[in-house]
Amino acid sequence: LTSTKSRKASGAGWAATLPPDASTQPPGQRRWDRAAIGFLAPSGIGFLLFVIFPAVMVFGLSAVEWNLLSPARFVGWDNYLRAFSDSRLLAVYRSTALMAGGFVVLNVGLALLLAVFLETRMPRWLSSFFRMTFIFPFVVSATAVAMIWRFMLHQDLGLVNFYLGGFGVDKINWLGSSFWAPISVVIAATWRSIGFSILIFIAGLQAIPQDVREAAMVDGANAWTRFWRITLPLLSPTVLFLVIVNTLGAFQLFAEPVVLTSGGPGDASRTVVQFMYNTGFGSFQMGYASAQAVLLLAVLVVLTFLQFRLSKRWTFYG
Amino acid sequence: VRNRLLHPRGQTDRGRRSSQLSRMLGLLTAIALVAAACGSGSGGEPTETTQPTTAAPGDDSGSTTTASETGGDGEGQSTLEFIYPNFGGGSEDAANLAAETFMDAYPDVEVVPISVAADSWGTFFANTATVIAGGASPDLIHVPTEAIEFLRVNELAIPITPYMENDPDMEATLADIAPGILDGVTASNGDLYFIPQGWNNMVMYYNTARFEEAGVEFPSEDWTWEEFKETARALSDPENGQYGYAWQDVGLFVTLAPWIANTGGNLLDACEATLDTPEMHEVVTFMKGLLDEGISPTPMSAGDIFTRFMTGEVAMFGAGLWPMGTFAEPGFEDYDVTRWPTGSTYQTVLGGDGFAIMTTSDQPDLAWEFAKFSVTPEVQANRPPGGSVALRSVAEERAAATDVPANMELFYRSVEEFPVFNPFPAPPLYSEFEGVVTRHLQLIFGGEVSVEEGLANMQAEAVTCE
Repeated sequence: LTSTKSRKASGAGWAATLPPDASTQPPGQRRWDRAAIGFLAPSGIGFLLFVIFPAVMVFGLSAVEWNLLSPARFVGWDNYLRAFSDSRLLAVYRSTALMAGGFVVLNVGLALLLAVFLETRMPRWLSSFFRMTFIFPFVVSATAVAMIWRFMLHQDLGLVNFYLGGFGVDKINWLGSSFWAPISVVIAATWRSIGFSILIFIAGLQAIPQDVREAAMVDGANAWTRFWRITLPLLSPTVLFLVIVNTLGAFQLFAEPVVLTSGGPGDASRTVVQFMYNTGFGSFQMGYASAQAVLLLAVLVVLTFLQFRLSKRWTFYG
Repeated sequence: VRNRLLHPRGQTDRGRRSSQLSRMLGLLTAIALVAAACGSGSGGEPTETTQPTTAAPGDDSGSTTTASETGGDGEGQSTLEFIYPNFGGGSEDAANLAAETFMDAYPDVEVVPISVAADSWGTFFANTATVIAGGASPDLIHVPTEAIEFLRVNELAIPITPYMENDPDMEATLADIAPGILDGVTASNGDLYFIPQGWNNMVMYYNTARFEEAGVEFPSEDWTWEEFKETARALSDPENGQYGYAWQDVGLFVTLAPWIANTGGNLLDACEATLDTPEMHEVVTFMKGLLDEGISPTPMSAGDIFTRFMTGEVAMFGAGLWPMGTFAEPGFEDYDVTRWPTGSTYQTVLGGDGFAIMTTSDQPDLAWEFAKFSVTPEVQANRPPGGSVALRSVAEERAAATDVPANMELFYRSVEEFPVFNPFPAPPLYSEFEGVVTRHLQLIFGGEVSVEEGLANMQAEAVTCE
C-alpha cells in the first residue's frame, strides 16, 4: 500500500514501472518481460478460466431462470428479489453467521494459545512434532475428517458420549439437536483447519525481534505483560490476516455440515454454500443459486471491508 | 546459458519469431489432430455391418436389420455412448464390462461409457444435468427408479414401451421377469423408460449371532409391527450400546417407504404430496416411539449402520441387496434376511435401474439393442456377486449357489408373491422432495417439534406438482 501511494503521489502510478515506448526498452529488458509473461501465463490463464470467467458467468446466470436442461429465460432482478424475501435463506444466513463467529473465535483464539505454547514453552524437538501433528488434519480431505467426527459424535454409539458418560455427563445429541449440531460443525471444522492458523502464528512469533522482548525483560516485564504489551500488538497484523481468512473460510464451509448433519436438524447447521448447492443441483434452479452466490460475494466483500476498517483501531504494524 | 536457450545462436529476431510461430502452429495442429482422433469415436476402415439387430419401434414385422440401418455412422462403425454413475468400488468395472460384452457381440459398434462421479443418485442427477448442459449428448443413461419422473417431465428419455411391444426378442425376456419388477419401474403415465437390469426390494437384515446371544428367536416372515417391536426391544440394551433396529438419516427408499407401504399409504398421490395423512402419522409416531424407548439409536449413515451391524451394536436394519458386498469383504456371515414387518397390508418396496434411451440420441434403435442386451441371460449372469438380476431363471440359479444369507431367495420370491408398492414416490424434483422430508423428520426425531407439527410443516413445504 505504501509503495502504491508513493507511486501515485509521484503522479505516475503503476504506469511508472512500464516504459513509455517498448522500442526504447533495452533488448535485455524486453527478453525479461517476455520471460516473465511466460512464467505468469499458466497461473494467469488458470485464474482467467477458472475464476474470472465463472464469476462473470454467475453474474449472467443470476438474471435468468434455467434448470440446466431447458432454454434459459431472462428474468432480470427477480432472482435477487426472491432472495431478499426468502425466509429460509435468511435463517441459513443466521446459522452460517453464528457458526462463522464461533469458528473464527475458536480457531484464532486456540491457535494463538497453542502457537505461543509451542514456541515458548516447549523444547524444540517436541514443538516440531506437535507442529506436524496439528497440520496433519489440514492436509486430509474435509469429507474424511467429517466422517470420522460423525462416527465419534453419534449420540448413542459415539466415542465422545461414551467417555463423557464416564464423568457422569448425560448423552449429548451432538448431531441431532439445533443447539449442538452447529457446535459440532464448528468443532470438526476447527480441528481440521487449526494447524494452518498455528503455522501462521508461529511464523509471526518468529518474526518478532528478540531484542524487543529482551528489552522488556530488562525493564522487569513478566511473561503475561510481555504477551499483552509486546507479543500480541506485534502479532496483530497476523491476527487480522487469520480473522479475514477464517471468516471467508467459515462462510464457505460445506463438507462438514453436509457429512455431519446434512445441514440439520431443519436448517440449524446449514451454511449458505450448502443452501446454494441444494438450490442449484437439488432443485435445478441455477439462476436463483447464482443470485445467492452473487449476494454471498457482496456480503463477504462488505464484511472484509469492515474488518479492514475496524482493524485500524487495533492492528499495529511496528 | 539462459541467453542461449532464449536465443539460439545464428537466428535474427524476425527469424526467431517466425520459427517460434511455426513451432506453435505445428503444436496446435498436432493437438487438434490428436483431439479429433480421440473424439471421433470410430477407428479403422469403414466396414459393412452384418450384426443382426431388431426392428424399429412400431414395426411389428420382426425383420432383422443391420447396425448401420439402426443409426450411427451410416456405413461404418457406430459409436454408442452411455452415462453411468461412478459410485466408486466396482462401478467403473461394471460399466466397462457391459460395454465390452456388447462389443464382443456387436463388433461393428464401439460402446463408450461416460463416467459421472457421484455419491448418491441425487448427486448423479445433478452432475449428469451439468454434463448434458455442457454439451454431451449420450445415447443412453443408466438411471434408477427415482429418476423416471425427472426424465419423463423434462423429456430427456423416450418411452421404450413401443420397443417392448414390437420386439420379438422381448417375449421370452418378459416371461422371465417377475411382473412386479416391471410394475416397480413403471412411470406414473404407465410408460416404461428402461428395462430393469438390476433391482432391489427392501427386506429386514438381522444379525443371527446377536439374536442367539440375546436368546431371541429368529423372526418369522409374516411378523407384525408389534412382534417386530417386541423382538427389537428384547435385543436392546442402550446402557451397553446395543440397539434392536437402526435406520438411515437420509433416503426415502430405506427410511420411510417400506413402513408407509405397509400401512397402505404413500408419500405422494400422483404428484401431490400426502405427507400429513393418518398413515404418515402412524409411521412417524411408531418410529419416534422406537427412539424414545431406546430400541433404536438416533438415525445414522448407511455406512455407520453396516459397521455397527457387524459389531452387533445394531441387531436389525432394512435394506436391499447392496450391503452384501460390504459384508462379504471382511467375511462377515452372521446374518440373514426376512420380510419387512406386516402392517395393515403388505407390499414389497422395489426400485430398479437400467438404461434409458436419451431423446437426443440419433440412433435410438441401436441404443435399444444395448438396453435389451443388458437383460440377456449371459449379461445378467455376469453381474457382480450379490448384485440383483432381473431374470427369474438367473436369480434362482444365483440364490441356489449362495450360502449367506440363507434366505437369499426371499428377494425374488417376495416380488412374485406380493404386490409392489406403486407408484414409488419419485417426484420430478426427487432431491428437493427428499430434502424437505428429511429436514422435518430430523426435527421430529430430535424431539424439537411434535409429530403433528412436523408433518404439517412438511406437507406445507413439499413442492411436487408444478
